[in-house]
Amino acid sequence: MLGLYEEALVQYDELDALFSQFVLNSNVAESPKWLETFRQPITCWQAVRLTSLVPQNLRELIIKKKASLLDFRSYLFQRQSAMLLLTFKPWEIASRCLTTVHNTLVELSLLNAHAVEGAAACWAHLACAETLRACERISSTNSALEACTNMNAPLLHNAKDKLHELGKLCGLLPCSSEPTSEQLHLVVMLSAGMGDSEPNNQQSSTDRLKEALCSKKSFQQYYLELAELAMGTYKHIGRLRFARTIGRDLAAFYSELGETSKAVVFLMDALRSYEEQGWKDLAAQTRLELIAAAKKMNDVDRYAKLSARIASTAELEILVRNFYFEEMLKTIKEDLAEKQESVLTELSDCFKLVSAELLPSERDVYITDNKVQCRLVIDSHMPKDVLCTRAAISVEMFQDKQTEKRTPVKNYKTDLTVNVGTQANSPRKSVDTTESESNTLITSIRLDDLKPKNPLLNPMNITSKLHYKEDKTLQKATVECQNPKLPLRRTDSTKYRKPSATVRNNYETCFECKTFTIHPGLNTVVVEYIAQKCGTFKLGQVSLLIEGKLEFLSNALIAGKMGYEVETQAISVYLNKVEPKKDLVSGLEHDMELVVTSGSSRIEDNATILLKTSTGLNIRFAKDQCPMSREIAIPIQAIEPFQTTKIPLRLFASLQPKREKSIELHTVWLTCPWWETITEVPLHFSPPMIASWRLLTSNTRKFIHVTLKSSVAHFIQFILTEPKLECDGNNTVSDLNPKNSGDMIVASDSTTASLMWELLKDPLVKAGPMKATFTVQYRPVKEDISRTFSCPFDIQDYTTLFVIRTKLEPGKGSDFCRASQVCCLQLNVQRVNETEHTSLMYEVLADQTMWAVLGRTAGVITMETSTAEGQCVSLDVMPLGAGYLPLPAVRLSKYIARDTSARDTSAHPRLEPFSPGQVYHAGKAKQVHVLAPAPKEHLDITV
Amino acid sequence: MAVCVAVIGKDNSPLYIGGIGNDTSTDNELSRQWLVHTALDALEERLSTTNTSNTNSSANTARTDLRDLYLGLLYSTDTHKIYGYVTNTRIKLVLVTSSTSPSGSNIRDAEVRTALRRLHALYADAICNPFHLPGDQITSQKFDKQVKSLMLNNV
Repeated sequence: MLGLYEEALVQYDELDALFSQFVLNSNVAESPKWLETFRQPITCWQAVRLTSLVPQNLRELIIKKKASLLDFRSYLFQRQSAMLLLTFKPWEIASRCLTTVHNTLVELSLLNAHAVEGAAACWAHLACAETLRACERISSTNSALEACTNMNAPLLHNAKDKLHELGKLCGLLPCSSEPTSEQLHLVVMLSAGMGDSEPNNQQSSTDRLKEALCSKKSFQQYYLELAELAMGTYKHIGRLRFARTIGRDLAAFYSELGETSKAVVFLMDALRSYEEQGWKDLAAQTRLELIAAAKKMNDVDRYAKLSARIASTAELEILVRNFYFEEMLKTIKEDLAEKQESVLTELSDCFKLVSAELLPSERDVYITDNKVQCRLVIDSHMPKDVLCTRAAISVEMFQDKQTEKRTPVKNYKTDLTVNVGTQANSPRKSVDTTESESNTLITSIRLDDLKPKNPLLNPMNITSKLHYKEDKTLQKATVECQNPKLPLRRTDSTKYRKPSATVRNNYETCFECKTFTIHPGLNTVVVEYIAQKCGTFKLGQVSLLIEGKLEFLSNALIAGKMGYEVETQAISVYLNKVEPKKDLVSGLEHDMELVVTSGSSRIEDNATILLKTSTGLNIRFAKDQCPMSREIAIPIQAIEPFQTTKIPLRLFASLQPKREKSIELHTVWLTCPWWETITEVPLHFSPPMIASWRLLTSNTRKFIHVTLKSSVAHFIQFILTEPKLECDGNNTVSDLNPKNSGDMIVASDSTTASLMWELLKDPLVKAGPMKATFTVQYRPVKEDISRTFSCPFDIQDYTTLFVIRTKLEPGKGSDFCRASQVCCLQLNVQRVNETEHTSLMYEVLADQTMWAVLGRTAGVITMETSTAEGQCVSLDVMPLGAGYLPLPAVRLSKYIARDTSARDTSAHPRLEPFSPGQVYHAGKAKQVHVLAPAPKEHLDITV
Repeated sequence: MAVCVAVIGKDNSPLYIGGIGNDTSTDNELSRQWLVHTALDALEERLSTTNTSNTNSSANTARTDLRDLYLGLLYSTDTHKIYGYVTNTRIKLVLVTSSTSPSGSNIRDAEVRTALRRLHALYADAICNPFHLPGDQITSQKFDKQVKSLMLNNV
């Protein structure tokens, strides 16, 4: 009346709270007498009228103390609403409405006021509906409407619930049979209690409710309208969970109505949201509702799938699970039996793939026509044992290999010499490593390891810090947690997204295991596959076929990149040494063997391998004493896969008469029927021993010194007999060797043999070039057959032409050579044979630590005639130290003067050396005794 | 006083749901779970509004720090009242009281606040277990016992 609406509202609120408290207390303590009024039976449940007018009839009832609880509450709510209407706060009405309704219902039960069943629901529904209408009517502005909408959704929800309650009471739900007479009576009672609607042209909510209670059809219409509106409003304000709850109610209603497909839509939506957020109990409950719907719809596929899923749900009671487990088996046997295709479903529903591991094959690699096995560990959530008809993993080609894997290196891995062997090995290793790098396939996987690490488990980066003030005193000590901004990563949303339609991969090539039982809990299954093609393969989809019709598929392995490589192991033929550590030595027979390994395929009978050798290399079978030949055909017996046959052979490389140490290269060509190309096997032979010779001169006599040594890498001894040196022409040699030289031994541990011959010739006759051949019979210590080793050599310019003699004489006036005193070196060059080289140059090559040559060290002399005395040159030399000093060496060379006829100005005189045997230096090893520089009485020359 | 208590993780998945009370056709474990589940909607709504109000009034950041973890009554039904509480790490604690039972109807806001605070302390104790992985369901029997007694003590 004063227009102080807010103050008035406070007063009404006070009254409301006080009343509520009294009622609540009445339950525990003694209640005041006046409260008894409100315990009287309720006969009227008229809708609240939300106007600003004072409801006079209700006020009078209260004054007369005849008001029931509902009357009183209605009055209070109407007054409160009136205040709010006058202050234009319609949303406040809406928010208060629900509280009032809830409080009133509680108070009703506390006060035990008698009322017709459903009366309270009627009143509550009407209160909600009226509030909604009032809000609609009043909220003119957008913001007010917005505020109202937020509040409206729960009101609609409550109105819908109450209507459902009424419908249940009056037998109006679609599932119930025709209303009984009691129920019809109740409808009449309730309608009467609602009273008449206010005289208004609009259809009031009271009328609407009355109409709804009249027939099933109108009830259904009103209910669906309210529910849809409530759901829509909830969605609008973002309360999706509430919306889904109403969706479930709707689903229940629709399935009662017989429109199961509509129900399924709501249920699936709800189920997905529960699954996503981990509400397993709710999801399980929703599944139970879904399966009921599937049963109604006679959707056997879905029924079977859901039965399996429910049977595997740990949250449900075991009885329920067992029931659906039996249902699943029954459905498979009865309903799915006629179907061609199996019913596909997600593996993770009922099983958990724990790990998968490719078992290593007996050999290192997987070979065609052999088993590749994979061990799967599966956790079954089923309550009982279940028969798995087939477990399979599909196989996908990872890398296509055009050519068969047959590396040429592997084919003739012939460890013939130590050197070649290592060379042959190294490229093979590198090939292997590159292969393993290119294929980053893994062979074993634990699916739990694939999950991203829980970021909450990372250790925190906590440091302690001391903070100081400016005067270096401690201000504070802190513990700091550095919170590095972690890069925001997209969480894998596939976790939530259910793979929509499980697609079955191609199982034409697959790992398989037929008919076994899966027990509850962990199971290990080994699936296997006979590899048929070469290449790299990847594991794909996992499939478990249960009872022949229900197929569980999982794509969990695909991301893991598990795979394996299949190779064909070709037939390999090696030519091997029997004693691999020893070198091949030419001139000796060697045991060899031809090793044929069948690889992954079988070798048929009547196969022959043809061996051809290069010149100088002969071969024969080791067993029979047939002659050696350069071509041999070896028949191979039929052998099973992965078997090896060895054919012993003997090999002989003839010795080439060569002087220098060189390894001989021979080749064996293998022609095999299963290869198109001819395989080449290189063989390296080293000579048994090497001969070297030297020509030795003593004045005009000539000697030949032959040294024999062995250069074979492994230890070997040869016994030498009958050494011979044969010369061509009329040259003869005289053997200076001991006659029992048959015991001479040459061994590869640097034991050498030396032999000496003198060349017999007229010293004064100039001889031409001469060819000599050294031969010796050798045999290895353990063998009997001796073979001939020969070594040819040419001897040229061996005749002695000049003899040099040197003599040291003391200087003038002294008798002895003394250090640091000039002495005279007498040089005598004598020509002993015919020669065209008459112009000679001598050079005194004195050791500069011992001799100092005064004046010229070199000079040119001419030897025109052969005189007994020869040319004499004397040089001044000075010994630098005392003792026995070797005389300075003298070198004689051919002096070819500058060709004066030639125009070429650049032509210089040049020197050419003599051959070693042509100049004999008689004083080469001479020493002279030089006395100390102190003056001595006598001079001594020692020659 | 309480008939159901739930601890809900950051990602809205339940970490613990404990309920007491006799199971009747309308009032059972499952129905309480629906209540808790739908309460999340109201709870999130409440959180988003507090957040926006805080960002709007960025001046008084002190209020953000002192933000009450207790969110009060989330919503109510005919039979139940649902209260919410959010820890600073976005763990949601939900408490459901029954308004039909004499003790539940007469409950005061302050009591619920204390109960939820105690529940928060119990939760903190439970996850201090070094063998508990954050984000996993709480299976501790001790926690269960303590929560049950918390619910009963206030009856």
